[in-house]
Amino acid sequence: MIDEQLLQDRLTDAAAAQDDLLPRSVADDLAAGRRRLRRRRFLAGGTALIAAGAVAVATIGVSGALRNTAQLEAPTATQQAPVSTPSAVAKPQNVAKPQNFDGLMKSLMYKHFDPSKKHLNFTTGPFTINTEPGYRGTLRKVGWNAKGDKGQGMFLIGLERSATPAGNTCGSYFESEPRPVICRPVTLPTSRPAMIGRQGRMIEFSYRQPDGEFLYVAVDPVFRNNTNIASKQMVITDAQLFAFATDPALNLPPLTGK
Amino acid sequence: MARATRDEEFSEYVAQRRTQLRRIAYLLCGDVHKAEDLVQTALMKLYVGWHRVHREGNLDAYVRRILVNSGIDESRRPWRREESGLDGLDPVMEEGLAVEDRRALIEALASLPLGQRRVVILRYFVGLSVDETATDLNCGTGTVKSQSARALARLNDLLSAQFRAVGGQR
Repeated sequence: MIDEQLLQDRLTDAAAAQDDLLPRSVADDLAAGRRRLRRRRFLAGGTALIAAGAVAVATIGVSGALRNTAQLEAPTATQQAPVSTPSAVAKPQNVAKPQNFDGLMKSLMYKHFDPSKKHLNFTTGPFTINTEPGYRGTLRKVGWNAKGDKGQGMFLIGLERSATPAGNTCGSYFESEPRPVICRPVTLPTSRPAMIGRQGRMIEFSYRQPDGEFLYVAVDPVFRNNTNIASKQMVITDAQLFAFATDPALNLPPLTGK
Repeated sequence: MARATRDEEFSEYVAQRRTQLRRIAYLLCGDVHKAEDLVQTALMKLYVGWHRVHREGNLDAYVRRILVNSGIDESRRPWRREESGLDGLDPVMEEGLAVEDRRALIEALASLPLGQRRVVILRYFVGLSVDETATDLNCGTGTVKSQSARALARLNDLLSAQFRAVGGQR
């Protein structure tokens, strides 16, 4: 039978034989990584978002405009905060806070994900509306706890109307995971198309409503910023997501004269 | 500031680990160009998630898992199905039996189902224990053991004639 030590030696020899065929420096790797990061950012959110993110980083490090970049880069300021949703960390001047919208979002989340109101944790701050040229929407992390469960899960909920492609798309949140979420098209009970991906209890979902508003939901049994212990009890079904997405009440508040 | 710190830490890590990552990738796919692509993809993902991964610790396990899973993803994409190898850039065909042995091993490895190949690489190249391999592959230790046994038996069959040392018929 195979001598395992000899197999290891032979594998090492065979793998090492190609070491010098395509030599690269660390600087090349770094430059390539940056290029690909820029490319991915461009594909994900467009150059306008990158510019907004750069300005925000240069000033404080976080802002409502960093909604997409924060997910990709997790700036230092955000790491130290108890939550990672930028709007909960800093409140840019152009963020409106319609109380009824926050209440609406909370009530819809309770209705579809936690009817007994025992699990959702909104201490990360209210759903606020961030308004910029060509963009209006909200992006917010919401915790999930259960009695006796040491872990904490989370929802990342985004609802936006934007002139540029959505910053968060199905599959983007867990893209760096060893086992990324692979999204697939799905038809909702309303016959509308959406995208959903599931890897264990990690879920990503995106859906463009008939009125053009774009909904993005990521479900993670691990909150990450607050704790790396997974919630054992957080289980969200596709049906719950579909019902939430197609709830006719799920809309951004109408624009006002202000 | 955060970016400068990340770049510095990332560069240091890559400088230490790059060769090993390329070797793992090469054993996974058997082609230097694809291996380079896999490593680039893995490093890009590591760079993007650096702060979180660094905070959570165990960078090696994280990037190894990215590498193995990236390999699966890339090989599934149609535009990655080109024939491997370009003149002058595949492993140099030197004179001697060692090169043939090497090629035979790479081809035998490539003939294994991906799951078995991953187990062989993690167990017998990286040197992980059964438990560590199971953790990396997110499966049970029983699966690792059975995959390992099947892979070794298959390698034994494939290589015993050409690869007498590994075949145990020295």
